[in-house]
Amino acid sequence: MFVSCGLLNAQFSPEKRVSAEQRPTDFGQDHRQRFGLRDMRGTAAAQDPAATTPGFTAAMPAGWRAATPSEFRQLNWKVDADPEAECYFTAGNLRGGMLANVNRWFGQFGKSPIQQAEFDALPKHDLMGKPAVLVAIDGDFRGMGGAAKPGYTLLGLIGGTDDDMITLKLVAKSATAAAERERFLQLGASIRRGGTAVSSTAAPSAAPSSAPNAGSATVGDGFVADAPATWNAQPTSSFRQLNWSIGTAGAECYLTAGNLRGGKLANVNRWVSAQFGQSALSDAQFAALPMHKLLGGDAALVSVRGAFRGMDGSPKSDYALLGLVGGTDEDMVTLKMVGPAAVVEAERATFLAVAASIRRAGEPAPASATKPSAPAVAPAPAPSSVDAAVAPFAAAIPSEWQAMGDTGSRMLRHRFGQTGECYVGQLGGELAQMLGVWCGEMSQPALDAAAIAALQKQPMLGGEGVLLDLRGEHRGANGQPRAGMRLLVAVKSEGQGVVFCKMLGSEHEVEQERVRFANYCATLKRNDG
Amino acid sequence: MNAATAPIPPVVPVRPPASAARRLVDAIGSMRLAVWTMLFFGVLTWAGTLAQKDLGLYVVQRDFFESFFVRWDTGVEIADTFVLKIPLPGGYLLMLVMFVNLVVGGMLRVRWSARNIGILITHLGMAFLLVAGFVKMHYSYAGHVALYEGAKTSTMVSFHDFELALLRKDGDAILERTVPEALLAGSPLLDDAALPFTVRIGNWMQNCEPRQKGPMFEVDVPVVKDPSGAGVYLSQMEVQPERERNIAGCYATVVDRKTGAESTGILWGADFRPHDERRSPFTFEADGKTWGLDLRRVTWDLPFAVRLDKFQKSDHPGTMTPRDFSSWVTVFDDGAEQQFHIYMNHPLRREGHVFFQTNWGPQPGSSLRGPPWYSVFEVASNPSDYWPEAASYVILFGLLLHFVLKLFRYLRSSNHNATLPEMS
Repeated sequence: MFVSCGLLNAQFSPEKRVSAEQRPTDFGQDHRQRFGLRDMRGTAAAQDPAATTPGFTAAMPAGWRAATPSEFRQLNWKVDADPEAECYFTAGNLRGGMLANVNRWFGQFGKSPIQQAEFDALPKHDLMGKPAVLVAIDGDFRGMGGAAKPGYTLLGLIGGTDDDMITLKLVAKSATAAAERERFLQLGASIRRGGTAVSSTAAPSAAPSSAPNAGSATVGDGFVADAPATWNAQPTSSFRQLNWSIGTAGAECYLTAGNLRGGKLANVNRWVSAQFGQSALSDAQFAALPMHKLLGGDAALVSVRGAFRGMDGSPKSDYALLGLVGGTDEDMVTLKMVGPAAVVEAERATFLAVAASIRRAGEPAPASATKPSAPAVAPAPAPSSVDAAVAPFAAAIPSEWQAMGDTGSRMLRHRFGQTGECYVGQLGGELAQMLGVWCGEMSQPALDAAAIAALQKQPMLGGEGVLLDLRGEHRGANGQPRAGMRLLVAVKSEGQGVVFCKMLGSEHEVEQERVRFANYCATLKRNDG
Repeated sequence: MNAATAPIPPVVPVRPPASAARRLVDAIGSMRLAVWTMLFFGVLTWAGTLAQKDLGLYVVQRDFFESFFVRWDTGVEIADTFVLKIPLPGGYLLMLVMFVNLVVGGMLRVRWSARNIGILITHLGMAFLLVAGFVKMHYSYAGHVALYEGAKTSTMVSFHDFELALLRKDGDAILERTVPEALLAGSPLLDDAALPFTVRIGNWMQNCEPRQKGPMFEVDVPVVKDPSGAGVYLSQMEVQPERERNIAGCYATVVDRKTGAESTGILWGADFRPHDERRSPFTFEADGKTWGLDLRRVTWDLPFAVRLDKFQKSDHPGTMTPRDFSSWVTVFDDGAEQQFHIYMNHPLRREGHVFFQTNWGPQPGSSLRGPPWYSVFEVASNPSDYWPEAASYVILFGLLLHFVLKLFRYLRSSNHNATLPEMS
């Protein structure tokens, strides 16, 4: 007030001289670099690798599955055979030099640090195409400051330079580590920045052929898809959680989840009208579009051909667009392929197969998703067997909640308060594994067996489930953190998977709806039951 | 009874009416005012404690206890038409009144005699305590230092407050000039004739984050384009009651005095210490030099440097709740090195700065995992650091003296009564 009235005059203080060491400053960076924002298209990152943290890809070994990446785990995996085993790749976020980091690993096993000469004498193996030091440590592992776990092994590959380190680390029971050692080394060799992983070294024959996600998978920001080797994974960005280039003619395909506004029809008409200069679709025309599978739900398939004008503004003749639009107006997901019409038409079947294979990181691959291969032999899109496998549910819905409309994976979906959402879902996988995924969403460590056993019980589906109650920062599929959130998940194991009721909202709103949520869960039943 | 035998009423001396000034002094130094002040202190503390649930510690301290007046929003709706807001005197005003009341009533109006020496000393100690609070409020500052093992620093940063820093590289040094946060919110024009440009601050946001502009939505704030063509804007976030969780931001428009060329940049006050101390200011060229504008937590330079040698934490069995944690540090001062062990209630005091062991990280639930751990010290610079302790001793001495003198007087009076001859 005083400033605007002119009573207090804002002026710089007298000049002060300080050493550059006291004020470490990077002049000359643009806004994206300063704030760590990634390019929407990912292309700038490719031209200037130092500008942002580009994505990485790897040929995931058979018997492993992708887990949710985090700031310090750009690639993250679990081993099916050992739920406690974890393996992750870290790039660029490490400090202190290679020897210091290796000695930190030794410290986690209560071992004395090694000297530089011993470090130099360690064996070397391939990591991202360059020699890296291989470290193997056996003993009692103490991670996260918790209780020591006896009989553990750490396998670590550390490469790069002291200022720009990369590490691949597997921590598991010693028996698991011994069994997975070769796969671990092959995984290290397959990791690539951005483009397609080197898959020829992966999937040794020892792995069971029926293991989920066997073979090469593209891991993006919170999503995984099975794409053919002819699709080259590109760095992800805020608006491209999965991103591929196809061929050399400029075709591209990408998944966008959660960052879209304006509603489904408006987005489709942006493609049709703004980018192809054609007449916008009416509500009726949009409703009549054919449906295909995307992220386990139904999505409208849009097909456009003509002169294309993209973000760079330059017109391109005889282009085509294939787009799948799913979810709801408030929570949309799209998969879009744009390129020369000939390429897009040739990739049409592959596009639909890739769409059916997309799942959130940590979720098992859809049983119906046929793994896509080369375009010429691409299978037909997966039948809607997911719906057939998902039995509908019924529950007493509080009158205060507003129906949002179900998607394939979110049933009895309702909104409450300003931002809250509640729905029923079912997923394949073990209870502990799924609880770990939800803990990860709230940026919290996975629960151990004792913590799971201590969870509060919640009646549901005529039996008893457990109730997970977490508060803190929520990171959804789009990776955007939301502070002050609360997540309630009532979950019950059923057969090979789990059925769960999930409520997410601000702490205040969830607290208000807690009792209603408990009743919603308690009255949940299968319609055939 | 006739008039001649009526008793004569006693003669009561008539006091001349007190002057207005005297009445004012009496009122200011009265016990009644002291009681009312204490009563309001009680109400204010109660109201502030209730309000802290919604407003957070920082705002309540500022609005309730560092103010002259406060309108306490009770949150109680009256007949669904308005919310009950109760005006109360603020803590600053109450302490000012109490100080004046103490000085006038307890030191000026009271008779200066040997029998009152204890009372005088006690009141002096209480006034000294209030002076210590005044000096702390106006002349102290506090911030924090967070260090990983092996890391060294000679700066501390504020928990709550931001400042705009104008930076220029000059050889191995940085030349900096700052503007405090309080002057930035009103879209000021920073026009300093010594600078080859002016700076206009706009769109001040208490809590925000920079985001990339997408094609399907519009924003009501400027979108700044990078050379790559990417658009970035500041997105307003809900202001958190815990002020330290808010990250302020604004836009800065620089106009070159010679050419009139304008460039606009986004300033955002996020601080990533101890993981990354480097700052990346909005950079522009003027008068053939490179300049930077940075919005940062208020930064103070310490007269010495501190290195964390070792951090130790032990947890309660089977939990991640720490039982105790402490730090071993080395202080570098004028070429000399000295080791200290800082732990709970055993701070490091040096050259007017006090280092308290206050926290550690990464905390469970954050995206980072320890070890390695980092140690967090609250650092306070307070000229009146020892004054409250000294005032407490003065008050204690005054009360003891008063009670002892009272006791002696009582004993002497008892002996005197016992030796009086019995009246027959």
